[in-house]
Amino acid sequence: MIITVSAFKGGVGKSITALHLATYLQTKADTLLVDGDLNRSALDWSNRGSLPFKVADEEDGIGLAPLYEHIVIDTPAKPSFEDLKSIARGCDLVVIPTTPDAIALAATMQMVGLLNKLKANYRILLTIVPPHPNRSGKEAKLALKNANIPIFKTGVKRLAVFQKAALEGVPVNAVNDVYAQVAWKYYAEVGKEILP
Amino acid sequence: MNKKKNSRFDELIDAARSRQKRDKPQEIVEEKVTFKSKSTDPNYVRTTVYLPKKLHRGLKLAAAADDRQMSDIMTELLEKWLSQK
Repeated sequence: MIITVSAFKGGVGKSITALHLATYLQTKADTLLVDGDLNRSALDWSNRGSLPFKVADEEDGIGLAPLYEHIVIDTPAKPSFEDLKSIARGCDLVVIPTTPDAIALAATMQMVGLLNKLKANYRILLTIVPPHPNRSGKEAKLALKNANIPIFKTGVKRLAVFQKAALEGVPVNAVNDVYAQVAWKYYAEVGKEILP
Repeated sequence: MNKKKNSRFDELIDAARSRQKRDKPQEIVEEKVTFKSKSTDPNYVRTTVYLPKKLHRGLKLAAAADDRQMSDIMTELLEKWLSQK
């Protein structure tokens, strides 16, 4: 399965999402995470800690991709239309992480418009959702549902353990923290929605 | 159109696809763009109904035998029933 994680806006948990989806898919079959992000966040992580799957940059990815069952591609923050076209044509699913705020949602809607035109198979993932009693996550979900936009049932809540995991260069489920399993469960649920 | 490399992702995706073509014929890869599974298609909803165990078993067997989805069989039957009402 080829999954691309892409967003028009930065800072919406794109690399964290790509990394954790790769962690989930690795539990199913050998997985390669291709870091197309110029920030190289994922490659950075893999250099810092130990990740359970293979990470490569775009160039190395071309040679490695045929060897892996699942490929997760982390794209740069604002992919060009040509990039989107290739992604829509070649991927099984485009995952679009977005935070539930107006600015990120506007960028997401722009992307959805293009992906609809390209007839891509995509799904929105709400990330960095503020905890109760803030209702922005629920409201964003409802608005997207009413607009008939495919969205993951699971949203990823804002938890400090994600930052801790980034620091240690490991997926959240490998962090020693009381919230580690809670955080991991979000992505495990998202993974199940993609590949049960 | 596919031969022309116009995006930096083309080569990568082609490389990834090259493995997947082993179990999928080429034509399906081309059609893939318009294909949507019901689980991701916004025009479909997933619902729960309670059926007698035996009936469910029978439906599952019949669907497998005809190589059809249970959803499609149910849809067909329900549409027929609703149109007769």
